[in-house]
Amino acid sequence: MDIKYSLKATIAVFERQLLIFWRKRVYFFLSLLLPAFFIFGIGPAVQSLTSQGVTTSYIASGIICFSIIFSAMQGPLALLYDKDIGYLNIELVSPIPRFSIILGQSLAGSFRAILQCIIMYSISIIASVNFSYNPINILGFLFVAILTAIFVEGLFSGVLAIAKNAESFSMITNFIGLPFIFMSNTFLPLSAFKNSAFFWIEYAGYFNPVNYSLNGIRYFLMGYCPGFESFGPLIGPVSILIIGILATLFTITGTYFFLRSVKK
Amino acid sequence: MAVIEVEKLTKVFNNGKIKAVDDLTFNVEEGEIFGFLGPNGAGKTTTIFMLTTLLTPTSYKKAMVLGYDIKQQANKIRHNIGVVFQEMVVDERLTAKENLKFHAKYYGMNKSEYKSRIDELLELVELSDRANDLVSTFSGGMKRRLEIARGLLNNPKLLFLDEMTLGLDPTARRRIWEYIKMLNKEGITIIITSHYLDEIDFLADRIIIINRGKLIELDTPSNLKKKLGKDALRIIGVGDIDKAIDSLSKINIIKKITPIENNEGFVIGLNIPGGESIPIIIDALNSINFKIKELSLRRPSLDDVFLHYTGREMQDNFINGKKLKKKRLFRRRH
Ligand SMILES: Nc1ncnc2c1ncn2[C@@H]1O[C@H](COP(=O)(O)OP(=O)(O)O)[C@@H](O)[C@H]1O
Ligand SMILES: [Mg+2]
Repeated sequence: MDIKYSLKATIAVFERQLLIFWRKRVYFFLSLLLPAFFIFGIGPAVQSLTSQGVTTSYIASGIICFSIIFSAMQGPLALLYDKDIGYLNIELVSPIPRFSIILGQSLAGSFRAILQCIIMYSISIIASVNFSYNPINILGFLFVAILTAIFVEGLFSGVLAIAKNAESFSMITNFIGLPFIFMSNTFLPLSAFKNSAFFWIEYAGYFNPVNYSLNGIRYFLMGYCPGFESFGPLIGPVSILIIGILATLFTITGTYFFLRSVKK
Repeated sequence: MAVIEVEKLTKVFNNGKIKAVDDLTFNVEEGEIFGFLGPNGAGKTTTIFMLTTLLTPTSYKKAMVLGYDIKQQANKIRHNIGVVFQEMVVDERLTAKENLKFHAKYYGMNKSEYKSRIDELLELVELSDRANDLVSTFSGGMKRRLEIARGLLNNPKLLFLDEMTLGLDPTARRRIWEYIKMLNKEGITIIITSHYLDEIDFLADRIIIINRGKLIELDTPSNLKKKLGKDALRIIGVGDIDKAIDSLSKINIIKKITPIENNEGFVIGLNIPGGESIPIIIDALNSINFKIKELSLRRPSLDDVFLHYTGREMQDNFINGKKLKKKRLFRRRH
C-alpha cells in the first residue's frame, strides 16, 4: 500500500467535498440561523426561569455541542448523494484506495461540524456569553469538539452503510440519534429528574455518549460542569478519554461497514 | 493478442434467482471495437461491471483484462482502463475542469501531469470554451463528451462505453461515434454496448449477441447478416397467423420465419433467396385469406439478425406486441 498516494487520494476526496460545500455555502449559513437565534434569544429567557444552575453559558455550550452532533450526523448524506448519482462508481473504478473515499468524506463532514461549532462559539462571544477564555480551556474545548465530530461522523457512516438509502437512514437518525440528544444534559441537567418518577433518566445518562461530549465541552467552556461539580477537573480528561475511544472505535467500524458495502 | 479473455463467466443475483450473466465465454482482441448487443436486462451492464472490477463474479474459469485477473489483480486493471457508464455521471455542482481535476487526482497524477492533459482532452472533445462552466449548464451530449474525456485521463489501453448514446439526439450521437472511431484509430481497444443496431453496425468490428445472460452469437456484423440468407422480406398483415405460418413453412425456399404481433397486426419476417420468390409467397397468403397490408424487401440488417436470434424486434414495437409461442417451432439455429 502506497501511503503517499493514499494520503493524496484522501485529500482529493476531502477537497472535492469542501469545494461543493463552498459552492452551496448559502445553505450552510442558513442552517446557522436557528441555533444562533437560540443563543441570543432563548438563553436569557431560560436563565430567569430555573434554579438548576442553568445559565446562558450552560445553554450556549449545549447548543454548541448539539450543533456539532447534528451537523456531523448529516455528514454521511454527502456520500449517499454520490452513491445515488453514481459518482461513487466513478471513484470505485479508479485505483483510489477504498478507505480513502470514506476517510476523505468523513474528514469533510467533521470539518463542516467543527466550522459550525467555531461559528457558534464566536456568536456566543458576540452575545457576551460568560465563557472561560483561558487558552488551555479553549484548546481542551476544541479537542473534545473535534473528537465528537469524528465519533458521530464515524458512527453515522456505519449507519448509512447498513441503512443503504435515505429513508432508512433518516429514520434511524430520528429514532435513535435524536433521543440520545434529548435524553442528555444538553438543555437541562438530568439531575433535575432526581426526585421524580423519571429519576432513572439521570442514571441512564451515564450510558449516553452525548453526555460525555457535553460535559467535556461544558467543562472547558465554563470552567466547571453544572451538575457534575463533584467530579472536579477530572471531567475534562475523562470526557476526552471516552470520546477519544468512541471516535477511534466508530471510525474503524464506519470504515469497515463502508468497505463491506462497496464490495459486491 | 487478446486484451480480454473470459471463460465461463457467471454472475447471479438474489441467491441465484436471477442469472444476469450465464457462462459467458469470449475474447476481445487488441485494437478492435467490440460490441455487446442484447435487449434490456440481457446482462450487458453486469458484464461490464465485472470486467471493470465493480462487481465480483459469482464464478469463472478465466477472466483476464489486459492480462490481469479481475478478482485478484483488480487494482492493476483499474490503472489501465477507462469507463463511461450507462447512467450519465458527472458532478453538476462542479465545472468541467474540476470534474476532470479530481478524477486525475484519484489516479495519483500531479498538477504538472494533469494540467496539460486536461486541456488537451477538453480540446479533443471540443469543450475548451466551456471548461470553467458548471456542468449543470451542459447538454446531454456535452456531458457525455466530458465523460469520454474523463475516461481518457489516465491514458487507458482499454475503454468501456456502456450505452453511450442512450437518450442523445441524432447529431450528438453521430458526434460520439466519430470520437469512438478516432480513439480506436489511435490504438485504444474499445468495448461498447448498445441498444441501437445502427450504432453497433457502424462501430463494431465484432459483435457479441447476448440474451438472458447467455451468448447467442459472436461474429462480425457482415457475417451475422450473411447467415440470414440473401434477402429479408417483411410482411405486415392481418388474418389467421397460424394458418399463414403453416402455408409459408411448406415453401421450402424460405429459410426462416419469424412472426411477431404488434398494434398494426402481424409482422412476419422471412429470409428468402431473392425477389423472384415473392409471388409464390403472396399466392400462399392470399389462398388462406391473410390480408397483406405492407410488404418490403431488403438486405438483412442487424435488426433482422437480432429478431432472428432473440425473437424480438430491437426497436420498441415490442412494447405492444407479444412474442408468439409458435415462433420457437421455426427457430433454426445456424
Ligand atoms: N444489483 C442487482 N441486483 C439484482 N438484479 C440485478 C442487479 N443488477 C442487474 N440485475 C439483473 O440482472 C439482469 C441483467 O441486467 P443488466 O446487466 O443491467 O442488463 P443490460 O445492461 O443488458 O440491460 C437483469 O435481469 C437485472 O434486473
Ligand atoms: Mg445496461
